[in-house]
Amino acid sequence: MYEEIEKAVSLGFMKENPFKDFVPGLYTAENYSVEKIDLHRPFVDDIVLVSPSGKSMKRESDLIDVWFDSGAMPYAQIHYPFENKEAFDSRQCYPADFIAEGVDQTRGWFFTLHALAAMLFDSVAFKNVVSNGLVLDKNGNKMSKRLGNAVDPFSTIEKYGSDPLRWYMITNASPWDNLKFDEEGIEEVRRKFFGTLYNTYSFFVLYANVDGFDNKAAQIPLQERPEIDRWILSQLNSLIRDTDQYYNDYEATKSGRAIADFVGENLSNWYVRLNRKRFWGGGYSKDKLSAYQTLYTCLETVSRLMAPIAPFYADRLFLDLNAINKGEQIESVHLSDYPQCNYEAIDTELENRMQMAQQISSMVLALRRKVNIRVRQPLQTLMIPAMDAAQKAAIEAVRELILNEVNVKELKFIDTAGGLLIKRIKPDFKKLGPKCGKNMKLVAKMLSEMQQDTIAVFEKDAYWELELDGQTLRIDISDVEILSEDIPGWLVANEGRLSVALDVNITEELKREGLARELVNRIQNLRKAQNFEITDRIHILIEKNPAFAGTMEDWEEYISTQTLGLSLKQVDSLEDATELDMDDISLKIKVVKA
Amino acid sequence: MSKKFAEYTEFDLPAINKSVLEKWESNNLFQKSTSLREGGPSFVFYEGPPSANGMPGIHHVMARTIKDIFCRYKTMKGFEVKRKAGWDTHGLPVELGVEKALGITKDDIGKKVSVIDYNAACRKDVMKYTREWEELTRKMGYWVDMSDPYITYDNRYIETLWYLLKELYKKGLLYKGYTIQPYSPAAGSGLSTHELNQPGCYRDVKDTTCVAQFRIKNPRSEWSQHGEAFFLAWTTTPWTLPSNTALCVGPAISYVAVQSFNFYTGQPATYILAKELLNAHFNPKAAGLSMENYQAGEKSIPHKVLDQEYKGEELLGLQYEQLIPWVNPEGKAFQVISGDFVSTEDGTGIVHIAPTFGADDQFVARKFDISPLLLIDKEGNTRPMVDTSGRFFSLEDLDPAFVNSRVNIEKYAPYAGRYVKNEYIPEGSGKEENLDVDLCVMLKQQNRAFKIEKHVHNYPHCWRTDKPILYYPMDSWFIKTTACRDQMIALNQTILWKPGSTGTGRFGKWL
Repeated sequence: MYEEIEKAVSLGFMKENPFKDFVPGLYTAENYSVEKIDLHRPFVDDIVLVSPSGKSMKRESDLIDVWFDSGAMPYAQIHYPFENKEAFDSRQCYPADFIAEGVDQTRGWFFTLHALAAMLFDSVAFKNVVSNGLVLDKNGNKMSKRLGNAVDPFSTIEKYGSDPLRWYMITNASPWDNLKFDEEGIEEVRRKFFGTLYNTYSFFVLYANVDGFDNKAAQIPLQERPEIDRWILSQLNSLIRDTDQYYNDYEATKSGRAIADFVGENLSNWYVRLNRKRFWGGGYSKDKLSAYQTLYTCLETVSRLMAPIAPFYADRLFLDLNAINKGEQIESVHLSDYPQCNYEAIDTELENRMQMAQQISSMVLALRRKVNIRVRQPLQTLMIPAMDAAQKAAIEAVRELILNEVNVKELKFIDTAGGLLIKRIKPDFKKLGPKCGKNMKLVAKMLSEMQQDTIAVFEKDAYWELELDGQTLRIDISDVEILSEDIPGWLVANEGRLSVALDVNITEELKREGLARELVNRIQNLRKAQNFEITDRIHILIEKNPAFAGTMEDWEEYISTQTLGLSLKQVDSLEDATELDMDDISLKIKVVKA
Repeated sequence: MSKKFAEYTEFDLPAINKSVLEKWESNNLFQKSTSLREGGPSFVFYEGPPSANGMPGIHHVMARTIKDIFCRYKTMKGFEVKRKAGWDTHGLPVELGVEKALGITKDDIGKKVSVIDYNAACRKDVMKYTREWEELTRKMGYWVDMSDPYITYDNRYIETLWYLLKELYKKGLLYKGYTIQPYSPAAGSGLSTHELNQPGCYRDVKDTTCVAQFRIKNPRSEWSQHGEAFFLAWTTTPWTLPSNTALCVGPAISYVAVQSFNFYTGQPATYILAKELLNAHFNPKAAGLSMENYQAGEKSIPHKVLDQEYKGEELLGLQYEQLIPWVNPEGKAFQVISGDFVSTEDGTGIVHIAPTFGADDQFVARKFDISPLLLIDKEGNTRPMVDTSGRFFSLEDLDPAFVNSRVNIEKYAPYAGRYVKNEYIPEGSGKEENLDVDLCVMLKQQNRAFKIEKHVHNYPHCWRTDKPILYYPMDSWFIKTTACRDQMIALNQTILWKPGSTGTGRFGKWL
C-alpha cells in the first residue's frame, strides 16, 4: 500500500504520504507503532489511491464482521505471510493441535477459524477442540452482576487456593456440561482429595524421618515385595495407563476422578490403613523398606499425574519428596516427564481379588452401621453365596484380610440354592416396558414367581430368556433388581453379583470380647491423656462392675498385654477414678505408671 | 541438602499457592518448561483472545483450566508447547463501553467527539482490565506467554487481515449485497448471525399482534354478496404494516371465503383465508347462527363458509387497497404474490409482506418485482420507513420534494418520529404509548382490524444492549462461505470435538 500511496502523491491525488516515516519491509514493533503508521480511522479515510484507469479510490465504509479478527489469529498472530512464512507453510505452527473455549464460541470463534482455514488454505484450523459449558450458580441460574450471584474468581482463589478450584471445576462434571457452581464443592474437594493426600504424605514423612528413609537404597524387586505392595503398585500402574489415555483423549474429568479415587480409596483408606503397623514396627527390616519404597513411589507418581490439573500442590509434593534424594537437580514437577506405565507390574487378578475384599468389607461395615454395632465388637459369622468357583477362589484368597477388616470370626460359603437367602426379583418397569410392550404385566408376574434356583441361574448368566407368544424375550440382569430378604438374626446386602449375609447375634462370649477390646482402646486413650511414653508400663485398677464380670476373667491377659499393663486388679471401690461411659455401662478405672 | 522430608504443622493451600507461584516466577519456570522441550515434537495451541475491557469472571477460570491442563500434560509428554496470549480489541463491546464512558452515542462520533479521540479512548479502554486478567492468569496458574501477546489492533495484525481479505477477493469469495440483516438500533450497529446466536439472545416477549383486513379492489362476484371483501393477514409487528406492499399466499394451499361480521364494528364482510386456519379465527360453534338476526356487539358472531375453494395460485395478481396509505411506493405493489415459505401453522395462510423488514419478504418481493416501501432522506439516500435509531422518519429528515409528491402528510405526521419499539426510546420511562397498540386502534376505527391480541413469541435481542433487534435493510460486503460448504463439512469430520455432539450437532448443522 505504501507504494500505492506514493503513486497517488506523485500523481497529485494526495498532498503527502501520511505514513512517510514507515519503512516497508521492516517488521519491528517500532516501525509499526502508531507514531509511524495507523491502519485505523480516521487516517485510512484520508487515503486516496489511483485506479488503473486513473480515477481516485477511497476506503469502503463497510466494516468486516469482527469475528474475522479473531478467526484470522492463526495467521495474523505471526504476521503471515510477511513474517514466519516458512514456519507456516511447512505447517510447523499450523494448524492447531488443540483449542478450547466456551460453547458460546461454536458459531463464533470456532466457526470463523474453520471457515477461513477451509476457504484460504483448504485445511482445518484446529485438530482437537474442547468446548466447555456454562458456569451457573448453584441453583442453576445464569450468573450476573445484576442478580449479585456472580462468583468472584479472585476471592475464591484467595480463600481456597487455585488447585481445589481447578480440581472442583474439572472433576465435578464433564466440562462440556453446564456446571452448577457450589462453593461447598470446592471445600469438599479440598478436604476429601487434597486433605487425604496431605495426610498420607504426613503419615509417610512422620515415620520416614524417624527411620531415616531417603529412597536412596536399591529398589526391592517387585516379586520380592509382599502381595499388598504389589497390589497398590499394580493399581498405580493401571492408574498411569488410564490417566495417560484420558488426558490424551482430552478427558480431564476422568483423569481427575481416577486419581482422586486412587488416593482416597486405594492408597489411603486401604493400603495405608492396612499397613500402618509395618511402619510402626521397630528396626529397619526389608519388609519395612518395601513399605516405604512402595508408598514413596505412589506419592511421587501421583504428584506427577495430578500436575496438569493441580499444578501448585503437585509441585510442592513432588519437590518435598525429591528434596533429599535429588535435591537441586530437580526444579519442578512441570519439568519432569509424565510417568510411564510398567505393564509388567499390573496384575489384574490381584486387583480383582482386592477389589472383592474392598467391596465385601465395605458391604459388611455398612451392615454394621445399619444396626449400630461398632467394628470393635466381634461378630461370629459372615456368609457369602459364591456365584461360581472363580468368585469363590478370589474371595478365598482374601479371606483373612476381610475377616480382619470387618472383625468377624469366620467366613462360610453357602450354596445359593440352600435357601438361607431368600431372593426376590423386582422388575425395572422403565427398562422392561419398551422390551415387553403389552406383555409387561405377564412378564412381571413371571419374574415375581421365579424359583430360588432359577434366580440363581439368572444371576450367574446375567440374563434370562423366556418364551412369549412363540418369541424369545431376553431380559438382562440390569432390567431388574434382585433383592435379598433378611433372615431372622441375619442382615443381608447385595451389590451387583455379590451378596453377603452377616450374623448379628451377639453371644455372651462375643460381648465379653467386644468389651475387652473397647476397654483396651479406652486405656490407650488414658495413657495418651496422661502423657505416658509409648514404652511406659502401667498398673490398672478397676472398680468391680457386674457388667464386666466375665470379661475380666476371660480377657485379663489380652488387656494387660495390649496396654503394657503389669497388673489388672478389680477393687470394691475406687477413689480419684476416671468414669468411663461405655454405651450403657459406667466403669470406674484408674491407670498409674508402674 | 536436607536429610529429612519436610514436615508441616498445617495444610494451607492458599499459602502453598502463593509460595509455589513465587518460585515459578523467580526461576522462570514456564519459560524453562518450553525451552526444555525445544527440538521435541511441537504441540500447537491457539489462545482464543479475550476482550480485556471487561473483568474476568469465574467462567474464565473454567476455560483457562482446560487449556492449561492439556498444555501442561503435553509438555510432560515431551512436546514443545508454545502458548502465545492474545487480546481481542475490536468490536461492539469496546465501542459501547467507551460510548457509555464518554456519554455519547454512535451518532455523536465525528460530531461531539472526533474519530481520533474516540479511537484513542477505545485503545485505552480496551486494555482497561489487562492487569486484572494477567493477575487472574498468574494466580490460577494458567501458563501462557503474556509478555508478547498478539493484539488485534496492532498494525502488523491488521496487515495480515488485509492480506487475507485480498486473498478472499482473489478467490472471488468477497461480494457486495443489500440484504435484510439483524440490526440493533440501541447499539446503532448491525449484528452478525453469530452474535444473534449468543446464548440468551432469543427471549419470549409479549407483543401486540394484529390480523389486519386488506380490502380487495375487484373481488370475485361470490365475494361481493355480503359487505366488502378482505384478505386477512396476521403480523406480530404491526409497525411494519405501513411498509406493506404485497400479500403472499402458498401456491398449493387451499383458501376459502367466509361471510361474517367485524368483531369491533359489526360491519358485514367477506373474508379470504386458508381453509385449514378457519377454526382458528371463526368459532365453529357460531357457524349455525342466523346471519340475518346478528346485531353489532353480540359476542357470538355468525359466519358462513362459501362452498368454493381456491388454490393459492388462483389468487395471484389480485389487487388490494393500501392498508395504511402514508407513503406512495410507486411501481408495482399491493397485489397477491406466492411463496413456498407460507405455512398454515399459524396466522391466516396469507403473509403480510414488508420488503424492507424481512429477509423472506425481500426475497419474494424481488422475485415478483414488487416495490419495497422506501423514503428519500434529505441527503438523497434511499431509506426504509424506520431510521437507524429505530423510529419512523421525521418529516424534517426527509427530502422535501419527496415529501410533497409521495407522502400523505396529514396522515403520516402524527406518527412521524415515533419509535417502533419503546425499548429504543433513550431514557424511556417504559410508560410511553406503544406504537403497535396505537396503530391497531387506528385500524380498528377504520374497520381494518379483524383481531387484536397480545401474543408471546420468541424474539432475538441484542447481546450487548439487551434490547430487541430489528430486521433491517443493510448494504454490505459478504464472504461467500456457502461456496466452500462441502469442503468445510468434510474438513470438520476430521476434527475431534469434545463433546462430540457439538461437532456433529451445533457446529455440523450450522455448516
